[in-house]
Amino acid sequence: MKLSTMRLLRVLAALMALSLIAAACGSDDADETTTDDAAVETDDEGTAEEDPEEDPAMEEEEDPEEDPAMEEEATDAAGGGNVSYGIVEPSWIDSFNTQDSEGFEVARLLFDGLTDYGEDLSPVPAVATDWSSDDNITWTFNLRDDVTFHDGTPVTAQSFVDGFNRVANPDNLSDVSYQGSYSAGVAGWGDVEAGDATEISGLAAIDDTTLEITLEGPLATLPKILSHPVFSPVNMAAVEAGGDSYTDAPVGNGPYKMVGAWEHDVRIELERYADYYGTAGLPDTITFGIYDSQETMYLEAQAGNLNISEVPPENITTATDDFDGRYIEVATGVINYLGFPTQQAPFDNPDIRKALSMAIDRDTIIDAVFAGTRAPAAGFAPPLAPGAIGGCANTEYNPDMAKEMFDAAGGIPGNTVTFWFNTGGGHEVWTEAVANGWLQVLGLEAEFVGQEFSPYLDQLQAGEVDGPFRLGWGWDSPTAENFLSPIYGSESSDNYSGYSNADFDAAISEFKTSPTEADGFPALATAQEILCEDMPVAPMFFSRGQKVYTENVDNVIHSVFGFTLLEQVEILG
Amino acid sequence: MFRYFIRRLLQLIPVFFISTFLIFLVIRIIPGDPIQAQFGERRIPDNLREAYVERYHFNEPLWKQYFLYMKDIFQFDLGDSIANQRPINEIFRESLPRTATLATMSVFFIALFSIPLGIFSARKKDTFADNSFLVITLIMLSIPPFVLGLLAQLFVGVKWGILPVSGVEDGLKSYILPSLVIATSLMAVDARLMRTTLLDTFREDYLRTARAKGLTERRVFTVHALRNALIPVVTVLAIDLGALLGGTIVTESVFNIPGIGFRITRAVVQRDTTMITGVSIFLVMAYLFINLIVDMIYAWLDPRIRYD
Repeated sequence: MKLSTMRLLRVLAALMALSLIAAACGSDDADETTTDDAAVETDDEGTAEEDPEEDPAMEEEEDPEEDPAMEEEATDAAGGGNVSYGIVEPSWIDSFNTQDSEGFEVARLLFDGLTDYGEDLSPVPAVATDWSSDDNITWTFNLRDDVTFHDGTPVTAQSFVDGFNRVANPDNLSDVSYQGSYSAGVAGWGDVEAGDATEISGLAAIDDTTLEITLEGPLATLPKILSHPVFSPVNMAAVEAGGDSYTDAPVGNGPYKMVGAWEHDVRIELERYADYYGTAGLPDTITFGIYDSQETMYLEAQAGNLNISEVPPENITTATDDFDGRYIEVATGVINYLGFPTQQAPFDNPDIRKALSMAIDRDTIIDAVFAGTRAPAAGFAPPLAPGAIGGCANTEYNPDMAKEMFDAAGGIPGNTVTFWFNTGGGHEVWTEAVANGWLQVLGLEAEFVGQEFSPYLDQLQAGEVDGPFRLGWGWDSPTAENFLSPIYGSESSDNYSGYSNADFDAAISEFKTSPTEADGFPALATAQEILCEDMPVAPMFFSRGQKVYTENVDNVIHSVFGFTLLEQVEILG
Repeated sequence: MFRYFIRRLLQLIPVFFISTFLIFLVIRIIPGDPIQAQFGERRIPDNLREAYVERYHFNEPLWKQYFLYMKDIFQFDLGDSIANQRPINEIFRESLPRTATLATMSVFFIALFSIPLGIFSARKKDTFADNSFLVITLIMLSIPPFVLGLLAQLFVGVKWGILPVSGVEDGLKSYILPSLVIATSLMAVDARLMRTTLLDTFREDYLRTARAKGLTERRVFTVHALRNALIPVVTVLAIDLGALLGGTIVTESVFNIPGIGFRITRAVVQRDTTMITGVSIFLVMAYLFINLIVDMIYAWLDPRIRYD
């Protein structure tokens, strides 16, 4: 049987037509027209150096209406224009479920909570002008009366009550609801999470500008914890009107508002909110370009299509050259540590734990495995965290003392430990380097057990882990305490080493009940000193974040939370 | 014709149920906890885990989960992605046009290059040009697409700035570079096939007959040789198109094109089991549907098929 070519061509044509129908259906038609315009915009941007008339023109258009309102000083000099910023796809940009650093970058521009924090990481007013509490349990927040959502609706105390209730509502599956129940300990938050109540009992909107929050126990750092986007106000009318698509175009109250909806895996576009109550941001518009890999993001920045990019690990050594020194590296609040099962012999002996910690050459491992892009952990909280003390002696590499102490404590039976880690997180190489150090210094062999994270946690929780184990922790609020009580508190569910020390718990509770955070620092220092002596875990390293930027932007500031202060980026004409 | 159509349609039903059930089963027995995967290295509060389990019916027996899933499928609802609770239908509406554009353009480029190259090579059989053609296609076949993709991005996109480096924001222009990359790795096969079948046709009796009838060499070649030699090439092009519509994982990832392949990769990395199931079942349905259409076209073209 032979069909003529023409007939076969017809088959192919029909198939191609089918796929074209597929291409045409769906919303991409609209997509393409809008993105064509966008392409023109970015082209302008990329060639901004060549025709400088473009951007200043935009500035003149926008600035006069914004800046007179803000009697803010020299900032308008560099205002205007668009900054494009590379991120990977966030999981959520709606404040009720902001959880990853990418989502955080967007949500912090869309939403303003009661508080923010200043350069020294102390809480500063945002929607709340001031706050007070006699016992650190019942807190009163006084709110501004000139704050509006991006649709013009006023932000009141009730907007915060609604926002918090929305987070706690189990139907909404907020992954970060624990911030309210566990981190802040708002009374009744947990009951809503559990489905036992529909409204958080510890919240009261006294009037439009007075919000009262009652906690389960005293907490001096509450204003700090409330700076997280999850504690943002919500305009429930907008949520209901937006339906399922609301989370892709949330209506916030921050310095920037959404332009259109989030185009998943493509872009998120923001523009300055004209009626913002605070200091207006410098860029007129902010484009978040979404990339699947840091490699592509970096290439786009090299091509001049993206102003600020992350740096893939393999480019860290060349980034300074690639971008003529426009490279920034900042320590962030993420720690990796090796925990010990402190309830099991021989790890119940602090000397064994100290010896193991001192036998780790952190500097060499970081240089060899991470090309120096992490900071060795000398203590239990990163130095940038308010209340952190300097290092512990027991985290310094001291092979002789380690060997001596190890032998004096009786060593480890069979001279073998089981070394637990979770697979898929890039922990294979450095944990092996640690084991090599133990072999050289202590003559200790290691048998590795690598597991998926979920069964790994289950076994940790069940106390089945019988050797050193790797874990990490990232902070939710800028306090040293956030690195201590969750990991080492006797009652904490994230305490996997089984460590329990009444003195430590007492010091933490003294910190929490102290009138202000600073008043509690001595107690916090005591808590850290206790840890230095007990070494329930061996702190390993703190993460660092890297960014590069192109020559048409300046004043790129990377925060210790891992995001860039985009509202302060200056665009150079 | 109608009876043939009904017969083919009825055959699809068991195929559909068996294949979807197998997919459903396989994805659920993959080790690893999809709920934990959404939390990275954080512990999930118990009440939140319960809420997830309930929302996604993970607490039901497998047969019931499948039943509930099928109930939704028949309402054309593929469910929600577990990673960000977006409707999978919506993700498809976004991804499919992109993948279809990429596939169509790739097949266009494959045809554009492979057919003339194959013809050229066949006509210059055993010359230096033909031999170098064979070597070059071999090289093209063996370069991994991601290497080719990265090189293309670096030179065409970054250094020369001719085409966009990545993304889908420049309309059809965005798809040129990735399509060329796909075409480069696939067209070697098509070009070689073109060459071989053309050489085979050159030996056919009907060519000798045509020449004996006194037709010009040009007419002998275009009407008699080329037309017949194109048949298998067109078939392979159609197969290419079908395969590309399933998404090209590597190229879509390298070029940051959020199509089907890109989303599958993401879903696998994130252990987004509902998404993986949705994509797989959608692809099964798409293949079944396209096959049905192709069978219909063949049957329409050749009456012998529908009466077998």
